[in-house]
Amino acid sequence: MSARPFRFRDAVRLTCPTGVSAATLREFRDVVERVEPRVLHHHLREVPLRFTFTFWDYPNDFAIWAANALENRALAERLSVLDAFHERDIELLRERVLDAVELALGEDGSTRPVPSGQEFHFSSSIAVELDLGVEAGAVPELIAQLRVVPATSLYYHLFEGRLRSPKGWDDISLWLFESGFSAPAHRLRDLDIYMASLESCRRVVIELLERDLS
Amino acid sequence: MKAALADGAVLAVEPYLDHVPRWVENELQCLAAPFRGASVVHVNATAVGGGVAEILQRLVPLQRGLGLDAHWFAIDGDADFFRTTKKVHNALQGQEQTISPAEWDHYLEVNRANLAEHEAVFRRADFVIVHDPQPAALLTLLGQPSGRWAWRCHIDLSNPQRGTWRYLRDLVNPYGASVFSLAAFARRLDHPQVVIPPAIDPLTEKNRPLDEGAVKEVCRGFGIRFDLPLFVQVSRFDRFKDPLGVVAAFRLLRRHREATLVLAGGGASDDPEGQEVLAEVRRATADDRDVLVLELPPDANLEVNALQRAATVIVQKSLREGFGLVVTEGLWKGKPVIGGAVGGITLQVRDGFTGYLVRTVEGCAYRMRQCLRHPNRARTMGKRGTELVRGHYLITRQLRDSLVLLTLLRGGTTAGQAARLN
Repeated sequence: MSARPFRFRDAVRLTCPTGVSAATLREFRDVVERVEPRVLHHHLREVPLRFTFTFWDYPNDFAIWAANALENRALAERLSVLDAFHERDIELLRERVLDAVELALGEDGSTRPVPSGQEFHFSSSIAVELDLGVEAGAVPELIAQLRVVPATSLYYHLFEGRLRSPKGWDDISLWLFESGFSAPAHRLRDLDIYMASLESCRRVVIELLERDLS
Repeated sequence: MKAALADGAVLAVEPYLDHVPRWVENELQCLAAPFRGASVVHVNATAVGGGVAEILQRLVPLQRGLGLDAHWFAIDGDADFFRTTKKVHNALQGQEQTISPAEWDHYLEVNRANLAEHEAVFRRADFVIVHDPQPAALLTLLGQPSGRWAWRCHIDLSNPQRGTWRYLRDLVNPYGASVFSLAAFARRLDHPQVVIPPAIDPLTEKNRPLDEGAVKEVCRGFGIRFDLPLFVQVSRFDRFKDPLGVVAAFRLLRRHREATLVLAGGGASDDPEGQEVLAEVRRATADDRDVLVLELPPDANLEVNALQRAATVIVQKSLREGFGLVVTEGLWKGKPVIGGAVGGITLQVRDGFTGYLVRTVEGCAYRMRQCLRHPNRARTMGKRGTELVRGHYLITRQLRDSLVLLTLLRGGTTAGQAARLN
């Protein structure tokens, strides 16, 4: 067993608009070329934090804008395939976004502006990390807490944990591994969380732990 | 300038836990810990009427309940000042306006007089949050304060008149941060900007649960028929709220269905145009027995609560909207909302899920009819609306965000970085 209990943390965030927006695909490209990495991080990786009544059609803000505002489904598809949690290098992601945009510009060369009100507003975020004051010393406690912690805490541990860890392990998998539960730790680490809503992640993780460890 | 709230007004978080998860309390206590004892001063234009005053009436006591030394001042101004600031407000929301140098001079003069009354408070405060354009000049006039200042903009700045915005921008740039209700309202400024949508308080007279008897009693008092579907728009009588557009949509609906429309609203002391618009609406509906125009006093919270609960559908057909707390109120009460596809309404009315977004009188009429034709779908939308508000637009979330803002102002975090508490 791991000596240390698993402590649940969370990050409370606010969106920080840059005041820069794009109304055409060319403007969008020009901003993406020079925008700070934290802006790309926000639009490519923080979408699961946003509430939706439906399944995600597209997994990042750029693809959503391409589909809904530009009505360019081909571009939306190409942007959707970027996995911003699997690919950790934000500059490489920037290049991939720009490649897709250039391709779209080459295909129809459109400079048509989106309808008023549907401009893309570039933003980043700030976060204050905090200790939720709950911990789990054993798997049943972990499952019990996973049922009640804020969904944003799941994002902190499961999504952002993969980016924090040098080897791409999320916090919970790592704790399981260090606690001697190697097989379920690997299964959880290998879960495809991309495109999953936080509540569906909660369900899947609990099911996995209950099946393997209860 | 006067204190807008009694010193003893303090609210605890605990009663809110009937509506939000228990972890919210821990989150708030953690975020508030570094600011216990810090003085936080809010300044706005009016102590009564309008969404900003409603929010501050609850937010400031809640901040006190978490140990902050929070205060709220409403500035004083004469009729000329508020006429000018209404023009500024309209110009910032895109309407053609001309503000003369003399009007700007008077604007600064009133700000200066307000500052002089409480200069020591502003010089000493750890944090000052200035709401909207009316008191925005305070910081420039004060010079170098010891605390951190933020400008909190509640209006739709997505398409401002450039001249008016340029003037205001010069007053706002010295602040440490700006706060908007939507990312689309942000402008290019010299400091960090954050998005904090406003919120409602589920425990107030306006939003607490009401039994059917209380709802009916209020409706009976206004002469509202119970045998017809009821559409309700609650808002100030303001052209941006398009009350005449709602009447036109209702008349299109009535070609097919009998129904009642209630347009209910009051004035805010910083809105001199209200009486003029109310008179226009009264003239337009004078011969229409199915349209009730109710001028309510600012404290008619029970009446607004009952009208919203009695409604079949809530309407908020705004042409511009900072956020639209009446939409939040309607959703919280489990009602589908037909709202103008503008500003903060688009955050709350998820098209086809919690109501419908409309862009025209015809669209509004069509969706009114659709809600009556498909009552089960309308009810489902209402239920979704309640949950949307519970998760995102209750005052505890705004309180939390206000504490993150203080962390940002204190320099505890910057965009793209996380501050770590504990």
